[in-house]
Amino acid sequence: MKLWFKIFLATLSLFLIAFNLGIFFLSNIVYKASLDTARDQAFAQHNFVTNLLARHLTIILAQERDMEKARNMALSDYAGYFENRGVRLELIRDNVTVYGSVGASEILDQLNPGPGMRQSVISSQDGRKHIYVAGYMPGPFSDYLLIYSQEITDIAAGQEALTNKLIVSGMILTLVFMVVLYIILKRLMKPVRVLQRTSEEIAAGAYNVRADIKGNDEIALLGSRLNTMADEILSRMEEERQNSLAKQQFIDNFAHELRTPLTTLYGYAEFLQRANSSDDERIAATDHIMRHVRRIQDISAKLLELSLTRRAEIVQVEIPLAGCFERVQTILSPSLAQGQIDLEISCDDQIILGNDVLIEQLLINLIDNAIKASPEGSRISLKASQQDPADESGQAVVLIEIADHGIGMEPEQIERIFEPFYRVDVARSRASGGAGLGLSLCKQIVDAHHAEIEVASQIGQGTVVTLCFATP
Amino acid sequence: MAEILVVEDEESISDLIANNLKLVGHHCVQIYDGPTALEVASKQGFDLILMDVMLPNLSGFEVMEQLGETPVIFLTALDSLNDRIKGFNLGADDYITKPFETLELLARVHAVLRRTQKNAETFEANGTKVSFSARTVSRGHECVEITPKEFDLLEVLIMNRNIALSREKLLELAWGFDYFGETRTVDNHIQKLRAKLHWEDIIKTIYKLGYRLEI
Repeated sequence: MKLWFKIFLATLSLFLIAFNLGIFFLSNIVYKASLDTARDQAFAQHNFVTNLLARHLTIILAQERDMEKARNMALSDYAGYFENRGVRLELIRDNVTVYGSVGASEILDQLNPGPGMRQSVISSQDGRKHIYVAGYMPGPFSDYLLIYSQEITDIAAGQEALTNKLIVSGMILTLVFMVVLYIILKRLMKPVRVLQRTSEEIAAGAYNVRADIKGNDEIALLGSRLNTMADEILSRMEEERQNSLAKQQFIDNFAHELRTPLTTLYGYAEFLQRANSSDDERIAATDHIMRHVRRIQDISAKLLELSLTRRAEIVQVEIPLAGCFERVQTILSPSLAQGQIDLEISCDDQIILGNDVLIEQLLINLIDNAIKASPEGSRISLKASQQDPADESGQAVVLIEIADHGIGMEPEQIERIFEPFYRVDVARSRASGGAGLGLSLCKQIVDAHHAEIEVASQIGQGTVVTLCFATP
Repeated sequence: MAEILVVEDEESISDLIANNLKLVGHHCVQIYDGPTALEVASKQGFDLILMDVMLPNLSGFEVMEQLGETPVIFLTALDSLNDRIKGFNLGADDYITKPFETLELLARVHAVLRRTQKNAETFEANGTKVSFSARTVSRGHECVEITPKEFDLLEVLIMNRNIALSREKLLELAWGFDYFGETRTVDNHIQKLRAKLHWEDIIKTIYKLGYRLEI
């Protein structure tokens, strides 16, 4: 059963119970009130009749007329007057009826008013209702008991008619209520339906669908949470997609990277085996084979290094940069000498946190690239500087800058230099035997240290690589 | 013998192609980038251009667009359908993907040259002259009697001269893929060719490999 229908049923039944109870109490109260009115009227009439009769009887006594005859004459006058109004009178003296009859002797037994008091009783007989009022006459006639009876069937019937009217109008009201309630519920439930539809669509894979719910009630809140959730899923998926794209790119590049050496190896092996070749040709062929085997070795070593760096737990120690720079310079001195390149080192007593072997590897790779990009006889500078935090919450960092005056790169090239197997200058890099993995490795080392690397370059002017490390 | 321009930035592969083409008697010019290829091709006429798609500075497709009528075979690691279609749409005559086998390369080069009628019309060695269009062989002024199958085998040997061909390969190339003959058949035909053409010295038996026509 749907929620709106549950609410509808609950509200409707509550309404019906409350309404019918209301009708019941109201009609009861009205009925009681009309009975009270009827009783008051009957008392008043009774009072009037007894007083009138008493006066009559006094006059009759004074004129010394035949008491019984005159009394009955007077009474029959009254009765004649009251007859049309459903009123009957009975006069009792010493428990003996002396005039008239209200026709309900067993009811009269219940009435036993004291002197000067009146008592009333209501009874129904054969579907007719009567009110009986009994009271003794005043003054010297206190031995007379006058019974006054009036039919009040109309009042009961009126009450029943009223109840029926209320029930009929209640039914109409209920119908109107149902329609209005239905409309209100449908309107209130609209955001819920929107939420339901949206969540179904999201579950079915349409992650770009959003729930459009205004306001700030619980449902709107739920809607905005759902939207946030979908956003989150979408961004996670995008991340995953980028990841798998990068992996696919890597595999494609790797396959492509292997294809050239494999073609060469197979081709020259075939040539050696089948061709009618000269000694020179054979030497050239084996030369090519050896060079390409070396290249595959290089790629595999770099790939291993990449995966080791990825998995390795980085043990961070304090590295004084002065010593580190010195070691790097020693290692690179052969290639620096070959290109007649001057490495200018500028460094105070800066210390960074990191793995010393990896940091040296990082610097060697970067400077090696700078050497390859630099013309003979140029300068490369390796500079460390401490930068104080911009505000109190920040941390001081050490910047390491490697600047060359080499060939430089295009902005599009800078964007891609960290991709595995990407080479800025394919011909040169192959000639120098690079696998295109050096900067990928650098990036990985930098990431493992939660450091940052930035590359700025201008064609013909040179390249500046800036590393940003945390201080201890 | 045809003039062939080899445009390939990878030196090893360029050398490999050139070596193999030279073996079968072609003359090669090796170029390593796009702009130079265009320059050289405009100065000198070539019978065929073998070209890599991914070249420094100017891609093989771009070079192709600016080239004249010279037949082109693309030679590349890009083996996606789109690149193939693009290559053919530009009017490429064939498409070879790396890694390739030497014999396949030579067969495709031969096929393109035959289509453009740039193949040598005759071949001569040891006083024996082979005429390809007439499918005849002559020594001096005498015609040498030769069966069609022997001529097929002879053509395969000449086309792949200086390269050792296994008996199986010879069966495949001269008799066709669907021929289920024995390798003895090849040996018999080779013996007959050697005797008829007086080529005992130049059709060599290569130990464990097969036969090679050496010029």
